[in-house]
Amino acid sequence: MESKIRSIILSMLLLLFFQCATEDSNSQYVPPSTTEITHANDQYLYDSNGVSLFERYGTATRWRWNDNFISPTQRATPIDADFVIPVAKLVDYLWVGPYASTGSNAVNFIKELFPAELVFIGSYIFNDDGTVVLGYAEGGARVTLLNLNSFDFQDRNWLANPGGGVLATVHHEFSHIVHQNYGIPAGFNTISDSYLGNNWSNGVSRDDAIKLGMVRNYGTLNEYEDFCEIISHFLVVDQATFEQDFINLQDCSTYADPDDIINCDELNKGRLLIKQKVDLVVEYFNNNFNIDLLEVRDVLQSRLNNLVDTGVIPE
Amino acid sequence: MKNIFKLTSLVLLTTFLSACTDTDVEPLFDQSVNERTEALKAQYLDVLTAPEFGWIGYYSPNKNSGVYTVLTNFDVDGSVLVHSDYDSGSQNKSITYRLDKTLKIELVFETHAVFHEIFEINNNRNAGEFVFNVLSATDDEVILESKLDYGDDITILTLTRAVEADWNLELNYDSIDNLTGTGTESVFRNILLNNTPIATFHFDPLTRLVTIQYLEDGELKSVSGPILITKTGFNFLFHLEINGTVLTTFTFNETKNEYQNVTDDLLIKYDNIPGIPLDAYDFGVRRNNARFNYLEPGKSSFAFNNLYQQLTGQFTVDTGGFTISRVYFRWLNNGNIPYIEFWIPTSTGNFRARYDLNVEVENGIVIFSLTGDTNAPGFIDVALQPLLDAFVRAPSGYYLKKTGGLLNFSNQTFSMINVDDPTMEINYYDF
Repeated sequence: MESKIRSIILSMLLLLFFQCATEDSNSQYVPPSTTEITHANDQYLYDSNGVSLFERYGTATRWRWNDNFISPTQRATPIDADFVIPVAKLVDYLWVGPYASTGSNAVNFIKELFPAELVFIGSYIFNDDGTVVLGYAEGGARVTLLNLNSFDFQDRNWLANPGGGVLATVHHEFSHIVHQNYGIPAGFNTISDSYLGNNWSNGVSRDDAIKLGMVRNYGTLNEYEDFCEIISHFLVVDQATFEQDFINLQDCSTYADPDDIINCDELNKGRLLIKQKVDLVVEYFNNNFNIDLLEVRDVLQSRLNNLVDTGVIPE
Repeated sequence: MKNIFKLTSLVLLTTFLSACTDTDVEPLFDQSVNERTEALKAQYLDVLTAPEFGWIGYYSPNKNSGVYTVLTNFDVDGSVLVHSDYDSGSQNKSITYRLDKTLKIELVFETHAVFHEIFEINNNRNAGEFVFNVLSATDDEVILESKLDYGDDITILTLTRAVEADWNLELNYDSIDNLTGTGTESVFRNILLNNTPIATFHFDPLTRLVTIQYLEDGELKSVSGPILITKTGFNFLFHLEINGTVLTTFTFNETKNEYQNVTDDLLIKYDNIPGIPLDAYDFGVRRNNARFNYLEPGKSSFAFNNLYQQLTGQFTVDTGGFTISRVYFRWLNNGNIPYIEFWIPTSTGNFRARYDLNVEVENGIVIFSLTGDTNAPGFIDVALQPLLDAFVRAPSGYYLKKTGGLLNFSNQTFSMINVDDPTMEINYYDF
């Protein structure tokens, strides 16, 4: 009896699977065709005598607007077409270049980790809640660069402001790709006592962040943002300023007011934590990737100064 | 029992097999969805690229905004030339476009031009658009609908065939400049009927909204309406009515620097006095303090902002490097002697130069006089005199006028307009 019931059910299932099958089913996946070159920007980005980011790293650069770049609750505008090639050159000169110039290990590192997709967007992204997105990396595969319509090679603030300059953003986002693939250095997350989570934006000043051992309020969100902020600040902020703001200890004996002395002392304690993190990150890059971050920084800074001075990226 | 199972199996098998015939439902279309989409896109592309001189449309991003004339000329190579009368044509350029499909066929202006510039007003919260659904496309008319809008404010942009002359927007640019003014005129601009003021007129060049204030049964009313800039003047998109007088179309008279509607005997012109009583701010009553509104410099007049820059620059020269960082009125309603205060940053903090004031408010005009008491040292005092002239020493005083809230704060803002020189409007926020 049971076996007969089973055979009936089996028959029904088989029929259900096979019924209505036709030869014109749409089950076969057809991959999209290769990028069609219809604009000078595409020519530069995809077919440029072997030097384009696509030809070297397989990176597709999206510059034509697509709603899918952002979520439905976000608002942003596309890049000005005239800025696409200069920004691509900037990416090469001050993101890829400083790494690649330090040796073959760094070249391979870039080849392995450089994102498969870059998205160029003209404005910042404004969220419904009033917050502003400066840039982001997704799944280690796509990095979105924002505020590109403020393009100006001689505007150091647009280029290198550690709180939203385009170079700070790309090096921050690239650091996400690094930790998404290899993790953060062991022990990095325990150097500071705690992170603030979503309270990072709740009136947290840069001094508050330094006292916690972070270089910026956004770094207080969690250890991953801390890691990325440390690297982007270390590379993009000029060495003297970085050391003065985040590393060198202040002489607190110059203060007379007890509150000022306490404040100075707390900042110094935070700077010691930041120094530990910087040392750990530099060692991590040395040991794991054979990359000297100090050299990367020096090349980047030299090129950045040259760019701000001349407004021209050398061919 | 055995037969029952056999019978059941047979019935089920027959049922399933009969359900599998292809003849139950005739296909509605000869082509697949993709084929039909491509065909429609090709059809729209043909329509868009057909006119020699492209298309003209009148674009308004939201119902609280005026109208911008936009010209587009689409090429089959994926580029589109976009010109407009926005910001004197600063965003006129060739960009790329595509016809795409998500829920509907959509026209995407892919790189930055005028639509995007308007979209970016107010941190991308201007309810603008640069992706449109194509509602219909015929040889003479293309109707586009915002992809982002929803609710009761959905932008529709209708494009009609342009002629060559439409692409000459120089007169439109001049027209906007005329309507905006140079910033050196009186802040009072009145609407006159048969040469009698009936309302005040204000034009915002960014939003292209006109705001009109008038009295109705003794009560101050304020209405706003979007306008379309024309080569000779402007038109109200929706006719505004002031106590029975309908405002429609105005033409610029360059010689008199005024707008006319001869048929209705209406004029819009600058004047030295407000056309109707201003909505006066309760100076010295509402709040104890006021600060020169550095957060919204656009609420002070262009002429005053220029003067302030000039005077503070001169102060720095005269004092060997000191600057002015803030200007306050203090103790306006606490029974003490009111004073005006200038903040002067020094290496040890801010020095606050204060001047005690007598304050009289009458008929919406405030008149100040200095009591003579001040803590300013001699050289600072000398250097501050021109600023005191501007801020408190207008001989006939200052008209007081409410100017709404301060950004997202609860403070109120208000202006003082120099009675003797109504090009000078100084805005403050209270606290």
